[in-house]
Amino acid sequence: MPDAGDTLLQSIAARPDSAESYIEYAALLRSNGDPRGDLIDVQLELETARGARAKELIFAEEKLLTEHAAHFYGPLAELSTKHRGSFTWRRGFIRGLAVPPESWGSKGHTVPLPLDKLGPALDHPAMRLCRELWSKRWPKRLPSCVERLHLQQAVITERLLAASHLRELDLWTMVASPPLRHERLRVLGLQLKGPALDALASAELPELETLVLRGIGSDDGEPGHVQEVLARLPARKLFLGVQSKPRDGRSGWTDGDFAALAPIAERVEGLELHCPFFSANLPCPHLRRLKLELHSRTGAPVGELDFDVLPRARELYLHVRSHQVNHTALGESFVRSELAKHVRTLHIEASRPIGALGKAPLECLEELSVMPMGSMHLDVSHELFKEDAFPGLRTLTLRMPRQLSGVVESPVASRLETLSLYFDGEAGAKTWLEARNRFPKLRTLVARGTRQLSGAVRAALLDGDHDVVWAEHDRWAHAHWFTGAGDARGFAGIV
Amino acid sequence: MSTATDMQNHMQRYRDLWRLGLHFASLARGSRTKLKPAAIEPVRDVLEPLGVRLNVGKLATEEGRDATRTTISAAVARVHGSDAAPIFSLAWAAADVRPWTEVEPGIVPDQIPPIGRDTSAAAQRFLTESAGLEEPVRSELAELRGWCEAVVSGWARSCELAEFGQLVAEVFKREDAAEAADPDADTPSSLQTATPGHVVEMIVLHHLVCSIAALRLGPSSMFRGDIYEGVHAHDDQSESHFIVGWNRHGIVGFGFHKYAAHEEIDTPEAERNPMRHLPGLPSALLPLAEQLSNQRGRWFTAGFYLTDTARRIEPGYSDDGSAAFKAFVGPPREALFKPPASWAMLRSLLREQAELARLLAKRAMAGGGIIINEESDVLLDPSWNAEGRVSFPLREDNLERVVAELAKVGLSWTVPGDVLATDRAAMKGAIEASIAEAMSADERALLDAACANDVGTIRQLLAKGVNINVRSVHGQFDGIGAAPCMPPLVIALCARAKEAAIALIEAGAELRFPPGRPALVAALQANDIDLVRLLLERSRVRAVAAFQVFWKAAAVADRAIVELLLDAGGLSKPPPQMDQMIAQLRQRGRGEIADLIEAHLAKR
Repeated sequence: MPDAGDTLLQSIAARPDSAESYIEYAALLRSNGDPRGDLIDVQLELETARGARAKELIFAEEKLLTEHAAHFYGPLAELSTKHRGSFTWRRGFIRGLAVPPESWGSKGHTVPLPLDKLGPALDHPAMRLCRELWSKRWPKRLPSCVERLHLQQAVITERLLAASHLRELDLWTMVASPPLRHERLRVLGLQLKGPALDALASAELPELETLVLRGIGSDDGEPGHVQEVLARLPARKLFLGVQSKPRDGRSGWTDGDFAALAPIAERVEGLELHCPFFSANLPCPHLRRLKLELHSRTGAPVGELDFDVLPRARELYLHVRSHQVNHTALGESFVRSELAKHVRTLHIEASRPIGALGKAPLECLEELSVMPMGSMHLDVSHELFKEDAFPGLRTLTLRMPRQLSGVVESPVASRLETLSLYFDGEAGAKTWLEARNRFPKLRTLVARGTRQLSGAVRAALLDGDHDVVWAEHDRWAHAHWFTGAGDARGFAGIV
Repeated sequence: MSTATDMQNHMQRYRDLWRLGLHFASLARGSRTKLKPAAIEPVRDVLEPLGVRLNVGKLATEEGRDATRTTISAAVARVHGSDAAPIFSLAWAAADVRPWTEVEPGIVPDQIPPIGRDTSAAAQRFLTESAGLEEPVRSELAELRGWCEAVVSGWARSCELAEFGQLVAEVFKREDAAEAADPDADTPSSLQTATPGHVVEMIVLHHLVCSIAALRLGPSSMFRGDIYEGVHAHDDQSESHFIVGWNRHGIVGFGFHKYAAHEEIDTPEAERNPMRHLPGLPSALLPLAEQLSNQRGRWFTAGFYLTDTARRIEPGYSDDGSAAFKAFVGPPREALFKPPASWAMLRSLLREQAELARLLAKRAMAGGGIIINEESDVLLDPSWNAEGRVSFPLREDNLERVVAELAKVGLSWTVPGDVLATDRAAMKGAIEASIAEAMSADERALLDAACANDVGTIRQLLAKGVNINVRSVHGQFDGIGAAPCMPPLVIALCARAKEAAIALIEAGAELRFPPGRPALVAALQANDIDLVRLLLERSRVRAVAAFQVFWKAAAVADRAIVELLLDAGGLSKPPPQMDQMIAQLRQRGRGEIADLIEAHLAKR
């Protein structure tokens, strides 16, 4: 017969957003001398606390998690000392876990956490309400409440598909899979390689709302066949990634390839193009997000990209991955285009300043994020904000506080309402605190990566009239942007 | 309903079969594994209760392997039940895909060989045999079935199989781990917890690893003093080294790494400041630190100290030379075996030798003792080295020195009197075994004929259809200075067998030029302009772009050959340090060639 604690946990699992069962459960734990009761109380109150009380709670939370690390983290205690940022806590339990690697090898290879460590960790009481799991590998069994599962490489098994709470599955490499059958899966992300298309062709996913399919045209699946498979899936929102890998000796896509996808174009909300080609044969009337992956293998001089052949989207993500791309020409081509005139959200990830950007006005732009690639120290803020080219800009995302130097000297600082920064340590917090007064209209600071920081630094960020949203590490936020999960501004959508 | 205990019982039952499959697959693959011949015994032990007699000779051919495997599978099914047979096949499939960090430390995915036919066939067998498995085994093995599907369909690339390999190893790990349980397990240690005693023991361990390696590879380290007060230095001969000293006050070390961001090579010696790598150094250790830094030119990139109350490794960049000290404060097993820079791997020690070094280090710290005969056998083990190839012969000139090095830490070793003769015989036996495994009698005869400049035999064998590009094995032609894995043409060139080389080139021998260039390099070594010219013409390469090839000629070949390579573009991309290299040429008495190169550069 289940005891009172189990009953309360079931009640919490059934209504995870209701505070009442948590309060009752915390009282029960406290009466048994379990410090998790105190942690639940502290984290519950922290959700709404402001000012000095919020600071007190941050210190109390840090003290509890440090003093009782073995109790709270269980088999993951050792990992928590090195990878504190991998854990998302909510109301006394680990809400999300990005499983850290066992070790880092050379050339980017990571050795995954072995199953004999991962298994007991997932069985720990702190994981009972875990709803989101990121892992390099499929851990063979899941915490019972997991709703969102992100795997780098996995064999999908019947056991995985039996996870009844699963709502979102994102898989980079599918090694093998039975027919994908799940009654309640709503979001599915796959790369179109290996067995993925066959698994989709035989899928039975009646509740599927969003399908993210990357790598169309790379190795497997002619666009026509892909369209046929997608047409029979119920997903209302499609996010499609189009690869430019040469096929049949050709580079890029032809008009015919794009035309083959036309029957599903109505449902396309996001497009990721790995080639600077597009065709009017694929009209996407409901397109919201357009991502351009520009690199040297596109088969054409990227600097001469004509943005006006691209479909109109309110949100544009420019990911410029090569030094061979002519950033200046690219920027000039972009600011002259009709697309630029209508873009409201622009996200740029590049290793150099994008030429003319910041010199010609972009009247509609409301949100801008600039992520230097390669060097964390690259600061393009002076070039971007010198001319006050973004009169409508209200939300700005930068990699680091040190990249604020050009912003504070610009009129844009006086208009910003939301600012999103990644804090890597005390120095970043200090830079921000010195610059804070230059943002009189700031209402929200999205503080990314802060779970790795000490309580003192986090408490310091609370100073000021604005709200603070404690957000994820950049890596998570980027991945979510394309899938549609990152709806909130400044990458705060997945807190 | 199935339980975890049920599953554990199943796995326990499969354990021997699993190990049998791994061993069997390893045996059958011969030189691609690092299994010693002694590993046949455990396989025989497992096969005996199955009523199967293993004929190792049959494993040399594909048909023989298939027949043996079928026999074993049938016996497994008969004795253990039909559900056990798939495990044997799975182990066979997995033998190739164990975590590659384990198989070959430091290897990168691009270098992993493609999935072999054996692996693919074994994966297919596993899929067929496991189709009828029942719960709970079916669910437990579902993921492995998925991987095997990917192998069979060709979708999985070999580098991705690391995950598969890790997975299969983990499924069976529980029992393996119990078997390997070490009563003397390493206690975790780190900079925060390491004691001076632990670090000195690690230094002694490193000294022993270097000493054992010196038996075959030559000396690479220095040890002075004893476990109470001494100095140990190591130079890896690639511009990275460290020196560490210890006394009653504590331990101090300096490291240098060629890739470090902050180094003082270009600073005049008097202005170098190695002490900046030791902030907060306790004053009692200052004299020792000064003494150490003065012994090694003062240009260091990392520092380390440890006393009972103070500890630090500075500065903490990844490529600064501090890795050596991090190993000293960590557990011995990690230092010895953790890739990618484990001591055992770097010094080509067998696992048994590394384990013995650890045992001897403990013995040394406890006051020393003698090395018994069985340990002596391990130290002198001649059969295989860590890469699975025939090892280097014992270095007679080093035996006495190694005995003295061991004595410094209180270990007394009496080298068996006939060790050199035994080693030579064992080396010869191992080489013969490798040859027998790697090539047919005709192929061997072709290599021998190439070495002996026997053109008649070469033509006769080639007419019979013998593979003209058959590769030699490690140690087969050491006498003429040929590297292992070389074709008859290179053997002929190394042996200065000009007529044989011409016959092989005319018969269409692979020239590997580019990218390998061994034939051309061997021709340069032979210093024969006709052969160099012939190779350049036949390889249809208009320019010798590789500077290394040209520089080999500059170092050893006649002026005419150097001129030939200059004309062929061998110096089209001179390196930045050309002036120093030309000066070195002059020092080696190659002034005429140095003048020629300078004149050529001036003309450009």
